Amino acid sequence: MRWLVFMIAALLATALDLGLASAMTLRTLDFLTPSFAAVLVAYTALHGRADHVLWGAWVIGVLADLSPGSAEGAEAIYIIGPHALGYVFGASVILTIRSMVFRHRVLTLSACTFACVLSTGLATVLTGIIRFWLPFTGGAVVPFGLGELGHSFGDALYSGLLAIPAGWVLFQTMPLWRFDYGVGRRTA
Amino acid sequence: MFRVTERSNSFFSIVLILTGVLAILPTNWLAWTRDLSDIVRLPITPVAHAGNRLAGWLRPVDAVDGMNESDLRERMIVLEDERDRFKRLYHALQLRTQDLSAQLGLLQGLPDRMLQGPRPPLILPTDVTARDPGDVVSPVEVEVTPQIDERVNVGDVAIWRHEYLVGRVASRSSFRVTILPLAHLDTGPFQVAVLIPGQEEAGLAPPRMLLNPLGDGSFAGEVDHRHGTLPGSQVVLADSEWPPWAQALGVGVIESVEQIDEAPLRDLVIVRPRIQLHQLPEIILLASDEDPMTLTGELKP
Repeated sequence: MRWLVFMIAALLATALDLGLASAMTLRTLDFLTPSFAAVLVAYTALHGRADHVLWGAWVIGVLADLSPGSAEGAEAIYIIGPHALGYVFGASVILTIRSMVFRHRVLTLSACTFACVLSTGLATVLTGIIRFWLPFTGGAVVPFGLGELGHSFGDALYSGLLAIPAGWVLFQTMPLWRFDYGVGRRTA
Repeated sequence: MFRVTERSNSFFSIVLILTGVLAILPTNWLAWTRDLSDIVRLPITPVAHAGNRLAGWLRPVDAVDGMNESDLRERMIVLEDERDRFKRLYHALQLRTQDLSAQLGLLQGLPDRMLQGPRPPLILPTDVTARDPGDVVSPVEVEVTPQIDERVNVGDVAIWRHEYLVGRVASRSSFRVTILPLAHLDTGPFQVAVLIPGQEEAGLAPPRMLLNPLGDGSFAGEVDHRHGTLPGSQVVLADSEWPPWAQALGVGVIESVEQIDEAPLRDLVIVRPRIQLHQLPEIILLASDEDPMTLTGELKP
């Protein structure tokens, strides 16, 4: 995988999540919002070398955790972890199943994006719960609860839908990436 | 199963463990993450800003509550009438204040400067550069123009369309100004007045209550049952802890009113803002227009 291409795509996806994604927010449905970054994680996880995929997912996660707009609380603190760990977990799941799926299908990418966003939601909720219960963390800074989990599920579904057009665009850029993972099921 | 080289695998495991530890560090140990975020934002913010502007253009935010064009025209006429009435009242109050100030000055021998009202605020429109569109109570960041960098302080208020109060400046640096939404738990409780339709004309003082953010974008407060508070009533800020120019700005609309079983003379009121901060592609900051002079007329160093 070409890291320069990856870094440009990662910065662009993070910026799109902070900007253009608000044009797609479902205002009447609890502000469900799709994630471009999750689509990118799923895309690289389907095609890249395993170690590259995991590092890439971590980098995108850290970018998302540190990106402007994700600050928590009145002190504007950035918690590094919820996205970084969530995307790595999501990428690991995709790496485990990718030899059994049609990797070049947009629908596969859509399902994998769903898994990525859901795993990020789980990581966020777990971080929130741990921060809430540990006496030294300074209280509940990361939101958690069933509502948060439900919201993540909605975001995951919506991101899966976004992955269909966004994935098509990503598949057109395939030669630029020079992925070196060649084993797996392909459609004829 | 996937395979990775052993060395890379163990190094990555250490990084993951460190990430897990970072995620649970105490809040007051994480101030350095702001500096790290400042570095990350350098390549991201220009694209995010452009995306926000495009999003604002593609899906403008309105607060017309589904009104059609004729409803809006009628509302405009009512608003213009109200504006003219309040202008007259404002001028009358200004004259009255001048009279009272002059009398008080004579009685107490205070300099005129001490009796002047607050200066009007600086109005600083700015674009939102970063927001989390999926999180109702997430802070947003705004573009730091030279004027904002120079004049905006922590605690200044953010409004929308000169009518709605949407947040307050939580932190500022040369790189970023972070606005915390009014509905964020850390904003804390604040006092509001409820404008019940019909009571204003009857000359009754609007009931006041303390509003607490619930963390889901709405607020809760308790009000005396005898006021007959109704869903749909407007709620405006009436808290002396906030800047004078933020008073009477709209906070939201009463969504529900329920009599409290344990205290039948009190009503539990849920208030929802007409607009949430994270929906807005641009806002207006109201900053203090104080000149660098002390009350005794000396220039501050």
